[in-house]
Amino acid sequence: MAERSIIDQLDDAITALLAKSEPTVNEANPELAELVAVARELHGLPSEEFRAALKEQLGGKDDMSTATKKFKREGFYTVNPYIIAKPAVELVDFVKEAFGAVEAFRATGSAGGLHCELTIGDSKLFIGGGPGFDAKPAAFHFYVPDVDDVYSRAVAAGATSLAAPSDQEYGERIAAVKDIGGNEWYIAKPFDETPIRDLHNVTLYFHPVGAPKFIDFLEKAFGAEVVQRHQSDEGFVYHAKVRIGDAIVEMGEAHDQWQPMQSAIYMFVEDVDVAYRQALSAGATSALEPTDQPYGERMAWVNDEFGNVWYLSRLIG
Amino acid sequence: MSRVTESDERMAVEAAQQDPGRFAELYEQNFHKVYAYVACRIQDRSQRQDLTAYVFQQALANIGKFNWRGAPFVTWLYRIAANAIADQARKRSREVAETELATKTGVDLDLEQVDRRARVFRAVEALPEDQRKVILLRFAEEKSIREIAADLNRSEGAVKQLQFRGLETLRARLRE
Repeated sequence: MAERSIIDQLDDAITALLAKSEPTVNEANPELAELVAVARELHGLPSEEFRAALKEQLGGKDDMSTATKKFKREGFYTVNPYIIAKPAVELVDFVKEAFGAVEAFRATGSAGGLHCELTIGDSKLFIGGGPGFDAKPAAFHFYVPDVDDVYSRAVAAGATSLAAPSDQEYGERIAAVKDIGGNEWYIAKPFDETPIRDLHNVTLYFHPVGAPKFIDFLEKAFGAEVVQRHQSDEGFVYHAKVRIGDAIVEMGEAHDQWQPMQSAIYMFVEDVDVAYRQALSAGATSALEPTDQPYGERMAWVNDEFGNVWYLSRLIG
Repeated sequence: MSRVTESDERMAVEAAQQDPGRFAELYEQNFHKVYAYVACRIQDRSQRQDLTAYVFQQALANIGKFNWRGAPFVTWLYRIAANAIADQARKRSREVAETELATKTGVDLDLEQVDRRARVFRAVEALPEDQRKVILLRFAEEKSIREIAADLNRSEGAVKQLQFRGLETLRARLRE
């Protein structure tokens, strides 16, 4: 049988490469070997159509969140912290002074207390309550450009220092303060500034007793997905990041001074009734059945077994 | 082949930070490198495309947060890609230890290999038109010689010839 031409041998090798199998190359022919090496590098070549389409998409407005805007208020994420504090008015002043929060809206809430909406960086924060309310403080991983500066301003504005700024070997500079409402702020800047999708400036940080169970609850109740999970062989969760919709919440198992808080979380969900039922079947208890509210939202409240209350809401009308 | 200097790149980043509408320049400068980086990791074509799209979408959304630290802009894009690949791997295998994942999916990938592959991808653009078409259909669309022959209305022998000459041209260009 006549030997196949180098053109055919090359094509045989390319066919094998594209079929993701290893081509047999005639070692005695260095020219063929070099051409196959180029073909190997070409495997995975992008198409011109894809390149052009992506360019056009990036040039246009990102409308990936169009669908989610229908049920969420503009500028809010799926998960938004709602601090309830006795010194609510003073706390609003504090976050403005210490963290540069901008007040967007203030009103008397449905229960007669303060309801205030603020923006901090790319995040929204609700603060409500007053002297007659039970406090619902929270802990936050607060991502900032300059840890030392924010820490100094927080302390000057009346916060108690829990930890002065220091570099941590796990990869961030961090300080911690407690504000007048009992909220803890872990002021941090990671050394690696690569963005993590849906990780926002003000990120809720939980210290549950039984973090694996809490993660399980978030997955079942709200369709959460684990983004990061560092844990010991015995299942002690040192740190986890969990995505819920377009926001990440963080947690670490309760230990030493870092103990659970009973926090309030304002969630925007596509279907309040479905989220409510899922939360109940995941172990939550009902505090308010889904009800249309006069302020244009359908809302339900559930309490999880870790002491947190979740306000489930979507826009109506 | 034009080379982008550090100051060109810096200007392009600053322009995009002031006006995201000017992100296109950064996209053009880095597209092949990002795609090559992803291609070195991901076998599946649609996954490669999804990941590349994600990297640039994230870069555009976060361009304001990018700080110059002396490293080329593309290393930031590689990190976004590495994190996204790690994220996917975690979803597939939640049981895999974090440290193991970090080793497998970090940016410690052979960057020379990525550079070489990006150069090959870029060199395809400069091929003579008939060679370029065949190379794109064969490697980007993963079509068979028979399908390409039908698409281009040429004989299978002619398509194989063009494929051979295309690879020869690329080999010569890459030696320059």
